[in-house]
Amino acid sequence: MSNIRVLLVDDEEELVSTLAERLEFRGISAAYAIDGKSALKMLRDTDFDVIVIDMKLPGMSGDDLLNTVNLSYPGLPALMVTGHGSVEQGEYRKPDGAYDFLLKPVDISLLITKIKEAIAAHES
Amino acid sequence: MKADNESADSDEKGCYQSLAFCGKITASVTHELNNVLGTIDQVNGLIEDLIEFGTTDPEALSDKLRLVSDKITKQIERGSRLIDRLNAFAHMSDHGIGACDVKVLVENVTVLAQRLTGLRKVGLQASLPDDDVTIVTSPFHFAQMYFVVICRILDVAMPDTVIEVRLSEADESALIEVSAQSQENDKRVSEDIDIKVLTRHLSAEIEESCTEGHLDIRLRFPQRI
Repeated sequence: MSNIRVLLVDDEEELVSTLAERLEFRGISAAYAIDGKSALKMLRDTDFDVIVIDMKLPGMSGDDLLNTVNLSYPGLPALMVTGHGSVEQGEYRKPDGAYDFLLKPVDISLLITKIKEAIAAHES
Repeated sequence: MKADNESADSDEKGCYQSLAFCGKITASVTHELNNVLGTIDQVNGLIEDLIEFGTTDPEALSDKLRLVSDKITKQIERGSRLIDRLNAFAHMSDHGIGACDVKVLVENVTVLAQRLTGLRKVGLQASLPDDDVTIVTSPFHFAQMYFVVICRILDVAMPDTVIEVRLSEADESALIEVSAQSQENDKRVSEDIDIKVLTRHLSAEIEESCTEGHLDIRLRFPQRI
């Protein structure tokens, strides 16, 4: 599995740009968008192997973006990211249509494992 | 007996509303603090990556580390500001009814509510007077009422617009004017049960109009309740 292209979607620009830079260090090509609308535009213009979506996005929510991605790009696996508290309190479950979800702060090794798993699962 | 029961129900509802207000503010701020910590965590990871995979040119590495250090400083300042706001919010309930500068309350709640409005792609801006606006009121319930009004407006606000707030002193009372673009022409914030209870509790007056989607609300708080 080489030349993985990931689209990260999170409105925390400092966080997402740093995460993209760290993925690049590990040989993963990463681009980022800070809202759902920009993410959809990037998906129209560029091919990605996986999308990583923060649940809390301004405007179009993470759930809405996931639904749109599933309809328009059925071959693109999605990972969801959510705040720690909401999972512990049982308020959050992996949404239908997502491969898996991760907690914030995101551990980069776990993220890469999940990215590879998601791509492998979709390819098989 | 019936009147006693109604009063107890009203008290319980009032307590629940107050807790809901505190919960909403706390959840929002802690979510944002989690983002601050998450960003610092990633930046810390980036420093480790630079040591492990980064350039061996000392000058380039030094420049990069300076940028990374600036990112951490920015996040620490952001976190400190949030904690100051949350602390001020927590201390609002230290005293019951008393003289208080509502300019400080409006400013604080506006900043705390901006994340919630931002998630709906709606801006929130407050224009505050230079001088203090001091009235005798319950600071906690004043802040709660202002917050609930913003939340109800947010339910109908048009995305990509701004809720504008203006605080002033008029006839020895505090006046908050709020205007927004609404998606509903028949929205009546004053009919909301939570707002009715708070209006009564604070001896406040509320006027509103909605014309062609432009919602205007005026909240007048007396000099003394």
